[in-house]
Amino acid sequence: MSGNAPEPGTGATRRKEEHLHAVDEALRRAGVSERERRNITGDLRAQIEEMIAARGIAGPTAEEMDSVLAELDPPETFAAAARDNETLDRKSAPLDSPETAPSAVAAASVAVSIWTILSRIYVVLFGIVLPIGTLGFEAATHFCGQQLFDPIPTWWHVALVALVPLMNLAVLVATTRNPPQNGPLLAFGNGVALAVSAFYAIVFLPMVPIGVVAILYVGAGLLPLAPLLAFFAVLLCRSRQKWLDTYRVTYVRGRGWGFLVGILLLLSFSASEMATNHGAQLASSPSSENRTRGLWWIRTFGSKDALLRFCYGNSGEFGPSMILLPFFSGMVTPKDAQTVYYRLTGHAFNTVEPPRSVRPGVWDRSDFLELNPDFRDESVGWRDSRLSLVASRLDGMADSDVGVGYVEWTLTFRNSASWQREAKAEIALPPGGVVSRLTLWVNGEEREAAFAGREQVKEAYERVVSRRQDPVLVNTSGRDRVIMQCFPVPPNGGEMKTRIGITFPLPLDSLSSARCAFPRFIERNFSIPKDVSHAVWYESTGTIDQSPTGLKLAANGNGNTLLTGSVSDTKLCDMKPVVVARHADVVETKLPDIRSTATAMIRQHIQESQTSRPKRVVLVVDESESMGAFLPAIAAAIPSLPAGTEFAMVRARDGADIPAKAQPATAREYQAAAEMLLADTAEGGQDNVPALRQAWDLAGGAEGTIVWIHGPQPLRIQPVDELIQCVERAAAGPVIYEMQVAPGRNFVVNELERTYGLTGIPSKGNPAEDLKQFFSSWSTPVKSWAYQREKVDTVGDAASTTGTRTNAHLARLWAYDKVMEMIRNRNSKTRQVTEPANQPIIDLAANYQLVTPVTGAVVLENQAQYREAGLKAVDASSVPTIPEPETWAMIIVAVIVLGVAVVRKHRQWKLA
Amino acid sequence: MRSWVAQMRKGLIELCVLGVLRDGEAYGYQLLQRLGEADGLSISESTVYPILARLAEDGMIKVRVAPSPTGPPRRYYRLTTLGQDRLKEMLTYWKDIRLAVEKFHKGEQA
Repeated sequence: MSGNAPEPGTGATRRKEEHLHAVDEALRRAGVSERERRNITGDLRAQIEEMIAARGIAGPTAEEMDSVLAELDPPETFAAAARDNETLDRKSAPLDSPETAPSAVAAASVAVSIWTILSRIYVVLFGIVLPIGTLGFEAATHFCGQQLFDPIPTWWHVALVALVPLMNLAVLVATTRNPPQNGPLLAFGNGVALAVSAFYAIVFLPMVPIGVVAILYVGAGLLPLAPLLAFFAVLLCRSRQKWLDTYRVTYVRGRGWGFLVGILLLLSFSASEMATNHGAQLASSPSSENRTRGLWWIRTFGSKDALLRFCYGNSGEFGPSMILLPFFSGMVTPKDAQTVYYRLTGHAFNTVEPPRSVRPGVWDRSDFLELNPDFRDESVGWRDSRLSLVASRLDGMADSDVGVGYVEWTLTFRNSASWQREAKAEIALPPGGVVSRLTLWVNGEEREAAFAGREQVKEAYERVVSRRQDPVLVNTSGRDRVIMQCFPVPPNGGEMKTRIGITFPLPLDSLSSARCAFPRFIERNFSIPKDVSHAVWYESTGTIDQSPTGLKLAANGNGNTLLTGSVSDTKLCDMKPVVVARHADVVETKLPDIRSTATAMIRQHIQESQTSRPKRVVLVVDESESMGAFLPAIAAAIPSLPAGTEFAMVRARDGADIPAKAQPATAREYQAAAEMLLADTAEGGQDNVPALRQAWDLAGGAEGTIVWIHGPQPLRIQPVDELIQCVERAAAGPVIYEMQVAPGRNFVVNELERTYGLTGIPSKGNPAEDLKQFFSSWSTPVKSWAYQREKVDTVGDAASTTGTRTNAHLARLWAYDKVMEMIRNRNSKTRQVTEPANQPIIDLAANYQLVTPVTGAVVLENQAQYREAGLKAVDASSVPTIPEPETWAMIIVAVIVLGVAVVRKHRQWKLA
Repeated sequence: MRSWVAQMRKGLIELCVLGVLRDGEAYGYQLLQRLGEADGLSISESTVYPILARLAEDGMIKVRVAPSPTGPPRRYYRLTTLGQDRLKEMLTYWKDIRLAVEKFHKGEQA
């Protein structure tokens, strides 16, 4: 383009538009209706273009346009002609009627103006203000989402809905401008707005009568009407915008495209949901092939969020699927969706934050689980930042000569949400540990727990929860694991304080050293702010060789060692057990059994043994997603198994090959098994029950050993009855060693532990190393030392002089061993009866105040609740305690004061 | 004299427009060109388009928008049944007037 050449297009277009606008203005002043003006200017525009085309000009310059316009009548002549028209013949006036009076023309003009003004007011009120207000209200409160369905489940929905008032505003502004601007864009946007508003109007149509009645009788209720009113506003805008059609036919097309795009957007919001529904139905099939296909379908086309909504029985995301799904393919059931969710993700649906539509609303002060009682189980649930741990202290003691430790963990929770929450945590106990005390502060007073059958305490807890009173419950959730739950942590900054006492043995590394481990959170539904740490105060009778990072060692003056300081939760989770020195010559301890007859004593002696090689080893490996990081560690440990042992590996995954029998293995077979594991991809959540059932057969009785390495399995996918039946009815079964390497509830562990008893793989805090050493110990026998405890009736026998402060705990550890032994023996003794003999086991555990696979602990608010539940809180004098730091301080201060006084008196006496 | 011509022409344009459309649909500019072919009428867009708009408003004619190869969409007009009745009525009236006028000026014509 040369610099001086007139630029075609822009200037010409402006001139043309100015001329057309001048004509429109002249006609408007003459009182011509908008629609007529639209037609007139439309014809005139077409004529201009025809004239330009007739001259063979492709893109006219401003001068060329001027010459075309000069051939036309001036704009004012249109006004004169229109006026003549009015006077000549108007509406239904007969041809021979007298001329219409000028006042009638004026009246018609006024009527048109009033209609225009009213339509504009309607668009402003119901097409702009009300939709924006309704959208803002719903976004802030989720009122509709919580009462009926969520109309704006995603930000995309919010954007789409916001488009309706925005487009109405744009059209309103554009059609009052001279000349109108952005016609194609407005037409397109109007089309989208029409599709969106029409859809929302249809969905909310059933609520229109309610809204009308509410307005009539209450004076409020516009919100349910907002979609329909907005739809009419869009139609009005469409009508207003139609006159822009006189400018370009593309506007008509643009509106059509806009409408189509609006429909497609709405459909696209539902597409993944429909795909998810289809995939979930396939994945619920009993056929393994269909299950795999269904999971692939969801991974490829579906959405985890949609599946999560199905888990709660939610009708789905707001979109056409709401209308289409129930009629066509049907909805997947919540139970199936929950199983599929686990299979897909490897964790339970209720371990992630639930969809907004099922969460409590801003006015609802109840707990989510209370609103959804069907989903209350032993899962910890999702983590809420508004529920936090605000104080934590660990007060512990370790008697290394006796080999017993006890720690009290005091926890204070605060809830800053506006609704009640249940604080829930899965806690890893020190190996072999057992919860032996539980308290809750009620009105500032510490209340003790009742220990009873697991179901009985759970029922009592649920009953009190339903009344929104204060209970706390602790149950086992696997070997060396408990679930603690307390409810309600009051809303708006309310606090709840609880204490858990744990009795634990100190595993022996040798006769002269033992290990003392710390409890830690495995999973929790509360946050721990950065400035909150665990205050640690451990007293040990034996010296501690090295303090963990963040803690310091000190002597407390009575020959014991103090381990004190504060550690973050991350450090506590990673903290290795400390090594505590002991007197190697102390191999037997005898202490009174404080929970039994006056003459009964607990005798404990240390037994030395060597590991023996099992004849047959069946390795069961869970290949769920949570195991992904640990599969290489298992593969690395497999070659440590002894050569010549009969070996088989069962992988818990869909479609995995099952070995026919255990074969004597050499390094080559072990290597092949390791490579097989490394080639596998851990994905989704696998059902371990079929794998364990196969392993049971492969182990072939008492000569076999099953080693089960697994992650969590929160759901019962297939009935576990067949496996339990094998375990219960077998004359002699294999030992089952298990190791859970990822946090989370595993219901198979719970079931097996309750009916059979599982054995843990010795742990030193590093699962990969522990597994390797465990396998190696079968190749090269190693010495080990274990405590053997028995109850003896020794009238007149002297008790040991050491460990008097830990006698209660020694008795508890004996009782815990006995309970676990009874659980294991129960099966062989009750093989022929249908009901297992639980009561003696429960009685024993309850008497020694233990939380075991068959018993739990619950603190209720008052005696009436205990009576109602048939429970009795333990006597405060019978519970184990740790001397408070304050007490120690007072004792030290008292000793110092006394010492000073004695020295002074002695000096005075000497001086005298 | 000019005023009289203008008044008379205006009254007849509507009749002519309807008459053109009786032969088939036509778009605005096309109609203007056809009317322009007739000597004596010499009408322009400022007269015809308002009439078309008013006739459309009164339901005498119907509008169809169709794409144009030369530019913006063309608005094709065609007579409705009501328009056809109106045209018949107007033609009758026009014939009566014409006969009456001719009756008075027979001698001059001869």
